[in-house]
Amino acid sequence: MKFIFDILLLLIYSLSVLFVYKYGANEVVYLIVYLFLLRILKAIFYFFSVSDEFDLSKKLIANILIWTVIFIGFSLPYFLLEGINRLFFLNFYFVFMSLIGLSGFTILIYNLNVLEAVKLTFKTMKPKVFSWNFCLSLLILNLVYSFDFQINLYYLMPFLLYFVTKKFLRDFHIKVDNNIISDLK
Amino acid sequence: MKNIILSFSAKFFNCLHFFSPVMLLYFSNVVGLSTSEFFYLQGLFSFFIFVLEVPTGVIADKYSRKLSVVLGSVSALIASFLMYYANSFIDALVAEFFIALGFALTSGAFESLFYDYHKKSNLMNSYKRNLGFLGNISLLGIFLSALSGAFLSDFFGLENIYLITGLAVFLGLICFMFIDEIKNIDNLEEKRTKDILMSVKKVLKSNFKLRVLAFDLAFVPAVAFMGIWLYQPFLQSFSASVYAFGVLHALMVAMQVVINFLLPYFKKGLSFYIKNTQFLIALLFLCLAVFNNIYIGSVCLILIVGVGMTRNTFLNQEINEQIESNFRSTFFSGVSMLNQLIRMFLTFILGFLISYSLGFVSYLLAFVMFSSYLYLYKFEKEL
Repeated sequence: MKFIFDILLLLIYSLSVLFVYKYGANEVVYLIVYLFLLRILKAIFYFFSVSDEFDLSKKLIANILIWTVIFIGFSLPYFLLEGINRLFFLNFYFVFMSLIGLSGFTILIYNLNVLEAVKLTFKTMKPKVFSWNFCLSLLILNLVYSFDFQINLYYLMPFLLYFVTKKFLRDFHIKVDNNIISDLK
Repeated sequence: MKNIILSFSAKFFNCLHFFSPVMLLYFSNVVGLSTSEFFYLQGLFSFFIFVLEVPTGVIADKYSRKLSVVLGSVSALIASFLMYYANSFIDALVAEFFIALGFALTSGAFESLFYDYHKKSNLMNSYKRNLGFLGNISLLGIFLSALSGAFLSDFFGLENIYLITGLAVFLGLICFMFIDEIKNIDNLEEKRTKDILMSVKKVLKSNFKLRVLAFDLAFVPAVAFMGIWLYQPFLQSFSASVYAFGVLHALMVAMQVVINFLLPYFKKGLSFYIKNTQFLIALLFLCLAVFNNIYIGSVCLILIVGVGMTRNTFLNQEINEQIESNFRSTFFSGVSMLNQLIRMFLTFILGFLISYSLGFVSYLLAFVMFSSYLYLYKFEKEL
């Protein structure tokens, strides 16, 4: 039944992106879709024993929103810089986000505050980032960036989010189980 | 021997579908249909073939197989003329009905006739080889017509492409008229088509593992087949030259031949390849949606069709031993019928969604294929 978890994840990411693509003309829509996505994700994580809690407390929402603002703040220079500066920033951003970028999931799954989540994410991701594989992927990123591609990012986003979620679960050694669904039956 | 050579020639002429690379251009520029209407028409064409299988089998049994194939060619000839004069959806629909009628009248009866000639001339030892040759001839016909179709439509005018195809059908009709008549021994065609329809029911009622396997065999090529439908709106969105349509279609056919020829040499990686083809196809559909580039998209489409349409050849070999011998032919007939049904269903959905965005359709196919990969991976691992 693990495939249901995967398909649900991909479906919810696809629907969120589709909604933003179709109706996302202002920030309020983004925020509503984002909160809705968090609610559904938390429920899915709970039903598949990824997270222990079902409720999305106010404290948890506040922590995630703070982290989101930090995340957006760190992403902004990409849109402001140009040329070689943007490339340098992209490399820095790739390393930085690989180290602590998954903190949002840590907050959502483990119900931690921002600081604790960043610490835990950094501790878990550090050995993965400082490896030859990571150097290779950084090289590939630079190579891909050197080509002038026109891409439809909207179609890439759901799959990207899905693979990031899967990577998080793998790196944090979280097993997907369907015990709760079986109990409900 | 005369009959066998005439059969080869008839098959070759019948496979010269000069219209195939420029179908969408013809329907949009000459008939005046939208892209959605074009897809609805193709969905209805698949539906006609499905419905006409049984009644056309009766003609082959009650009268003769030769009459059935001759009538099939006449029907295709009428369809070519109707399509030439078509200027609305209904006109095109009537023409498609005659194409489907011709296809249904010819398909089963021709194969039986080909078998009978070998039996009558005591050439049964070369039957398998000749059957393979017949398959190659049809591929050659499709390949040549895909390459030349674009050139012919540019040289003689797009509006005349169905007339040129009609000429090839006429040559096929002449070949069929000169082949000998063979008396029917029993009502094989009617029985065969009824058996095929019943096989779907039997497959759906079989055990869970076989049902999943049947779904796997029917679903993956049906989704990959959508690559053949997508390449024309894809090229049209880039305002590509008419020659690009022909070249891309020919490359799709060539890729299938290349994969079929090369893959058996990689015996060790074959099972890995089979297990991960769905992932590969999903990735290619996603690339088609993400990259707004004619070259990347074309490569993706060639690989989707090449990989997806040949996968079953290798998977069938792997699962042959898992199916009891007395159920094997029923199983594969049922799978082929299921494949047609899924293909028909997907063509209608594609027609509905294509008016929104080609990228969205490609994304949706990637999503569907990836979901089936997640679901079926466990079962394929057991093979």
